Amino acid sequence: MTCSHQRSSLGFFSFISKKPTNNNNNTPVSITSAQRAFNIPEILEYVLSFLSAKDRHDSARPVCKQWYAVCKGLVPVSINWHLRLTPGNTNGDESDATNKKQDDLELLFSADHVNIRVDNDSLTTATSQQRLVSWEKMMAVLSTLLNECDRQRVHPRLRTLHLREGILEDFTVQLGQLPRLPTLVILRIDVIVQWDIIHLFTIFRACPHLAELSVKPTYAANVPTRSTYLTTLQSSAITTSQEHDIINGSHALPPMTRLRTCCLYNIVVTEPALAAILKASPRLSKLVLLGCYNLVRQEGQVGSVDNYVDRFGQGKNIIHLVGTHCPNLKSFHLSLSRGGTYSLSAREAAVVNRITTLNLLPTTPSSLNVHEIPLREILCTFEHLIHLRAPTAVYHLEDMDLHGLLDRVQNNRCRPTGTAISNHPRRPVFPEDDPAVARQYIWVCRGLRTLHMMVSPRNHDLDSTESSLVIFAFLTRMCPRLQELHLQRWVMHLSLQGGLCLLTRLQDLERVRIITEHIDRMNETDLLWMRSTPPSSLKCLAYPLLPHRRIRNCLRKRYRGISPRVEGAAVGSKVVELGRELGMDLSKLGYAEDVYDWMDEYYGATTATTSTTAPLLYNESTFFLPKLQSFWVETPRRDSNALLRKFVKLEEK
Amino acid sequence: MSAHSQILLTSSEGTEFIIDRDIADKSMLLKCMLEDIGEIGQAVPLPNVSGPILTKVIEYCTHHRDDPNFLSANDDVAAEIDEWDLEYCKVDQGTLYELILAANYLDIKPLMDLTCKTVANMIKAKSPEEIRKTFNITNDFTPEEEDQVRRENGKGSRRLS
Repeated sequence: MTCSHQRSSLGFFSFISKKPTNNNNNTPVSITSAQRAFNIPEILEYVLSFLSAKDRHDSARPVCKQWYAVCKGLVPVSINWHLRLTPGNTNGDESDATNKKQDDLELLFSADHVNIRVDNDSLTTATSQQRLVSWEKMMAVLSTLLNECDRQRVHPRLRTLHLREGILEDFTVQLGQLPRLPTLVILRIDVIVQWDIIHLFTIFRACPHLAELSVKPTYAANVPTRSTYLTTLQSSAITTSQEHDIINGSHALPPMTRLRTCCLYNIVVTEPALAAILKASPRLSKLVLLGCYNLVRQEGQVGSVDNYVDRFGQGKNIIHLVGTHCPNLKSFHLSLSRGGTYSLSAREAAVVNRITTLNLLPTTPSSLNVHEIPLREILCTFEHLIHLRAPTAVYHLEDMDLHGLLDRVQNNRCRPTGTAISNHPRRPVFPEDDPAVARQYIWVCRGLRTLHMMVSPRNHDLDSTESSLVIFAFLTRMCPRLQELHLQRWVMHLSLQGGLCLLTRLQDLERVRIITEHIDRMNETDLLWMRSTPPSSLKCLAYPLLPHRRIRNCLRKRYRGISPRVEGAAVGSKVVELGRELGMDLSKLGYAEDVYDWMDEYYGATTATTSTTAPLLYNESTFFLPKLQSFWVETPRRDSNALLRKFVKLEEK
Repeated sequence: MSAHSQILLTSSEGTEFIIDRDIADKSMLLKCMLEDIGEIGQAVPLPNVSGPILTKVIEYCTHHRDDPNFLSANDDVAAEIDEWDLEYCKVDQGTLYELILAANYLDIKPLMDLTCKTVANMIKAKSPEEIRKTFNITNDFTPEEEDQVRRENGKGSRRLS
């Protein structure tokens, strides 16, 4: 109000009391105000329309007859319009949806939600020209709908738009024709082409209230490895300055506060554009970047997907941006089309550590390259993480070796009998007396249920027995609720000696998949522990003793003089204390004693057992994994027939 | 027509208000009327809106005069109410209903949404009896009808669970 009647306005403001009021009180109001409003059925209906269906049903309906009648009529109506387009000829088809009768459009106005799915099978094989014609027809339908809404002074209730069958091919031309759709909540586009992130700006400006955007391949396009249909980048002819104008110019993105889900497939991203989009979408909770290419635009010439600038590293910058701009992200899926490195500093980790699902995958199975993903930082800072799928990400074996045993065991093996051993690791993983550093090696995601990763040593001189023992001991202590474990390592010792049996600590375990080049020393009897039911025959009961003694002797030689009891160091170390604080017993992690204890517990044998004839006590209750559904060992480059025969025999038993 | 031309409004008591045209355009009623008859230089009478309520309405429109998403701002039912709007609605219930009636009469959808949403929030999580008490509504169901409604609610609850 720029100017009003002075005397009146002062009086009015003093009349309207602001402070002492409370809308939530139960004071009955005068008949004239509430009843005057509610006596107009449209107003009552409008008020009740803001209630949830449950509130309307349980609270509002039983109030009185008028409210009952209004609530009964308030069932939201959704219309799903399957708009079938025929590419036909370029002159247009008179019988198509463009000429949809006015009566049909009228139907749409009565609905609360209109969901349009644009579809036609023949579009998968249509030419670019035919696609363009179909697109124009669809635009004509939308335009008619919006014009009619405008004429009738009603808001278009268009809620969902699903553009299927690759109708959108030339993003630059076609998206420019997209009308403003302020009510659109969900936009799904099936594409057949690789596309540029810059087009998101056009989409977001046209649909500012989107909650979900999903750009996925059509079923015809399938995945890039199997498809020749996906065409390469067509619109990278955007220079740095042009991109800068789009991002920062007068058409800069409005705040996309309602955007929660963003799934983008086969997209070429640039850092400035991605940063602008993430910055405008502060409430993003799910981000999927599938088959993502990282492009560095060039000034004055056409960029190419092949023009990668490796020094930036693809994943590194993407994770950095996500970590900086998405404080509410719960689920993040990133798969890169080319090899690259990821990196995550403590700062980003601290920002994005609300994530519950993190998938860092290669796009194609053939590109299972090792990626430098900072898994340790993730696992030690992402407190809420439940699912981590990063099968090509390396976790360093030494980072699991909390007591620094690997080097000591190796030294021990090479040491002539009778010489003294060193109690200090040759290359200490971290200073034992610094709990802050020790904490950086303890996983905080105690609820982890899915774990896919690769384990590899920094030094390639580590034997498989003690390293396997370290791996299984570490995993079974750090993730007590694990349900799915996919582990990749070049060599695994899958026997009792290697500590595979320690998996019985994970009573929720359902699926195990181990991919390895070499399976070291595994017999069928080594897998008996994973039976779903206890063995019945006496032979099976008596079985463990001999191997048990052999294993003890073997481990004793290997871990000569290295024992938490002998050294007395592990028991009082900072790691152990830290573990105790967090409810984990880390005192024997990686030591041979860990396996001895397991044997004592599960086979009823003791270290003092010497007789081979004495029957063993059998601990039935914890002998098996009750939920185990599959145990899968893969040796990709090895003839596994012999191994297979072992498994078959085991299965028959 | 100048972008800054002013309109004279008269409330039900005869109090006169001078407001900018762009503020008046927030009301579909005034916008259409002014487009149809043009600015005749005379006061536009609003017999259904009292002075205090018209003041509140003008306050709302003035605050949102530069809001580009004014018409679509409240389309999302689940959207949270803006902080200023929340403060704006802290008035006594009588004023709130008068605002609903004024927003309805003047056809200002965002204000209608805001006030109705506020009333809806007062209904949420209340029992039917509490709602009756709050809004001074008489239960006009016969005992048989009430039983019937209760039975229907029971079915609904089971279905929901």
